[in-house]
Amino acid sequence: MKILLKLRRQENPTAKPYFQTFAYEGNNNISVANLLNILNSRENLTDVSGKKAAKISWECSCIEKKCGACAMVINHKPRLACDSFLEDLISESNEIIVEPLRKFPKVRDLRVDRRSIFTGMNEMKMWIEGDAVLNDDDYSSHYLSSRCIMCGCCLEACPNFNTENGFMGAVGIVTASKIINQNKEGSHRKEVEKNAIEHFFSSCDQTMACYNVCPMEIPIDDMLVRVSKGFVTS
Amino acid sequence: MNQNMIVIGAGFAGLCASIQAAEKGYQVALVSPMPSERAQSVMAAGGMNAVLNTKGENDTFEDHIADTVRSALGIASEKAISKMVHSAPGIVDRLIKEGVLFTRMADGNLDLRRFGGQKKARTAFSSSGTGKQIITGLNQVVRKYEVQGKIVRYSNHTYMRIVEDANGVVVGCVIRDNLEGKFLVLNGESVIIATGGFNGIMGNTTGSVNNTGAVTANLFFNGVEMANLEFVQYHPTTVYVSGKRLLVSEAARSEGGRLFSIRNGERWYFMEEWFPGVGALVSRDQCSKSIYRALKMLPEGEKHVYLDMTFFDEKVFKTKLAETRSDCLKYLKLDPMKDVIPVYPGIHYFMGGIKVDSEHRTSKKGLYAAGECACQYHGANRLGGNSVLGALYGGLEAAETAMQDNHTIYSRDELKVFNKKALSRLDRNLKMVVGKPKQYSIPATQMALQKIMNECLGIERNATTLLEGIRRMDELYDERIKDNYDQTSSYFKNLQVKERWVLSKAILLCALGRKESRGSHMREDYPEQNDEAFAKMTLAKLKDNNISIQFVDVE
Ligand SMILES: Cc1cc2nc3c(=O)[nH]c(=O)nc-3n(C[C@H](O)[C@H](O)[C@H](O)COP(=O)(O)OP(=O)(O)OC[C@H]3O[C@@H](n4cnc5c(N)ncnc54)[C@H](O)[C@@H]3O)c2cc1C
Ligand code: FES
Repeated sequence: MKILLKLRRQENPTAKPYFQTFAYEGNNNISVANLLNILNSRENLTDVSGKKAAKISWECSCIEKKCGACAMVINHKPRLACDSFLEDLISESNEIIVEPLRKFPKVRDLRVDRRSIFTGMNEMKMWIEGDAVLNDDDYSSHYLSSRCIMCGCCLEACPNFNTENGFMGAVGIVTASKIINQNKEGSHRKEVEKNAIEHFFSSCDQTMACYNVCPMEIPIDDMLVRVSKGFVTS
Repeated sequence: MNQNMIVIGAGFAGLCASIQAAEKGYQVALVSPMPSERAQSVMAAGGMNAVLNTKGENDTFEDHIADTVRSALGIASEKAISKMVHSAPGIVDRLIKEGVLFTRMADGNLDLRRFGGQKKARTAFSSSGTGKQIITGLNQVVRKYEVQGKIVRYSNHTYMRIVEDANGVVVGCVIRDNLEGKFLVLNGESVIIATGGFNGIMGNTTGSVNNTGAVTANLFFNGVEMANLEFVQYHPTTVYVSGKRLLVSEAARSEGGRLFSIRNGERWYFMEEWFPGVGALVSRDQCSKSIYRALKMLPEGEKHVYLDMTFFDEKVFKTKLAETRSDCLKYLKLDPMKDVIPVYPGIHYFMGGIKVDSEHRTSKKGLYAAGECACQYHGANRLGGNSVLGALYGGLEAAETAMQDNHTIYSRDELKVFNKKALSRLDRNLKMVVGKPKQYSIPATQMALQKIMNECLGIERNATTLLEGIRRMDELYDERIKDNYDQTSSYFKNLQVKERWVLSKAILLCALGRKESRGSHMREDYPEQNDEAFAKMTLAKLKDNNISIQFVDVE
């Protein structure tokens, strides 16, 4: 079966976006990441109408769902391209729509500027002062917190997030849930807690859209409860 | 005045180097095209080695050194290995203090795995996602220094070339801002390269496609010496999926996973037959070779090897192999709790790379290298769990050496002259490729190059295929690289093709020159190890457009 990949493209941050469609025929048990690589390594890349096309700009690194580089919007849902298989995507239509994350400034094609996630982490002071406090009961929750790949899917889905308002969404609170817990009682821990309120609790209206899109299936709800419980007891 | 260090690459080695320097008051520029969350280090699964002796096996530093030296087969520096081994427990301790979680036993002590080729259990781990846990911890430390202004991250930046003074000493580098598309020059008394293995030269590896090998290739092109390039590790248990090789972590064999094939309708546990008592837990080179041999003995159509984990306790999958199981479910649609996994050896690690001394100095003054991009610690074969350690320790050690070495301090004006020269060279090189008549696609050329490398540098090599490979390389150059400019690829990608091509050719020449079999370098035409001639390091150098290969004594 012929699969059509409808791609939202944009040459540079200020250029006008447009859609371009590419055709693929072959094994459907491949990921969108693999398909993008296949298209880019064609000797001559042309779209369905036979028009010569520039190579598709996108980010990837591990191609096995471990690094978060390849987050994009596929069939209207934020996901990882290396974790989205053609055979699952074409159940309703043979056209797959691929777009960049919309909440972040565009760079080119599927590449966006996600720097705000990382500067946000610094603003929230997400580190540990002194030796980390380790507690057996928290092991599994802390392990899951550290699995966050900072891909941005949660922020893309979140109605409260934009890159200007300082709201850090699930990526912020998932990280904070471990950092707060691993810090000793004291001024740094207090500061991180304050930052968690400012960059998260003050704006989160708990739609939990993040929960349904997290590729690492992090139990965001659990972590939220853990952090707020900590506030009550401290 | 501040002392400045530039670190290229933000995986284990780059992060450790940056932290070490910042801690000592240095001003660090940390460059990587993507944030650390996307570095190959996050993929590390099985764990890191350290003599922690929590299993009552009386493990000692001497044991760890002996296992590493034995597996390196005479071509790694014992002095360097010994220092690394002695530092390992301290590194684990430091990571724990930074909040990194390691899997523990019921008694509260760290659990340890026994990886292939090691006599004792010595691999500390966090389930099967050790790399990500460690990166998260190191990132936290770097973040603190970033806020203090001691480390400035240049994420979204790519290394372009080094800046040298009038005597060829490295005093900085040119990087490219990938968001703005502009060049930027950074100056520092030392530059540490920590850019990972040259995956992109071979393609189809278990690692990150972002480790293109471009930096290694560029340095080789600019006269930096390389060592042991022919030593490429094939991991015994990988599976080809959706455009890449997926690793089934050695943790699976460490837990008792069994390898078998089907012979005359029955399961043939060839590893257990050939290595009684040890089975699949021999070193990786031996295991990969055995799979290769077993397959050769089987008739066409029946050449399959499987990994059996179905008899493991459910708890093992939960606590020790969580990521391994979920990778199998996702990418293979197989459940290792119920199904056997078809496996085949795949390219996993590069023992060779930038030549460094036991303190991580490269052949160029002012330039240091650590982590997988550097040739250190592993010799002819790397033990599982030793490369996470080698990268973490190597980063710390490289930074320490760089801080202790004497460097000429230049004034701003003097540096400006050097910077200008580096920029104009870059500009000249770029201008030389732009507008050339042929228009072959760069990614397609890259794939053709990788294809040659894969076909000639398999688990087993011989002179005929290597010479044929070199001939095909020359042909590829004449046809697709010379006088070519692909307008649909960036101009620096166009520029890099030739550099990669030269490095690839050097790798083939190293493999051709080493007329013996040793560790991961298996020559069909020279099946024996020849210590007299080759218990040496393969040294590759580019001078006046000629690749020279020599065999020199190990430090
Ligand atoms: C799937 C898998 C599992 C593994 N499991 C284990 C294990 O259990 N135990 C073990 O000991 N080892 C393991 N390894 C090996 C080990 O993880 C790596 O050798 C180690 O992480 C390398 O670290 P590094 O710091 O040298 O480089 P990397 O982590 O590869 O980082 C390289 C850095 O360089 C940057 N870079 C690349 N190109 C450029 C450029 N042009 N300009 C600037 N920066 C650049 C990258 O962005 C990245 O930040 C595993 C490897 C893989 C692939
Ligand atoms: S490329 Fe790493 S998550 Fe997709």
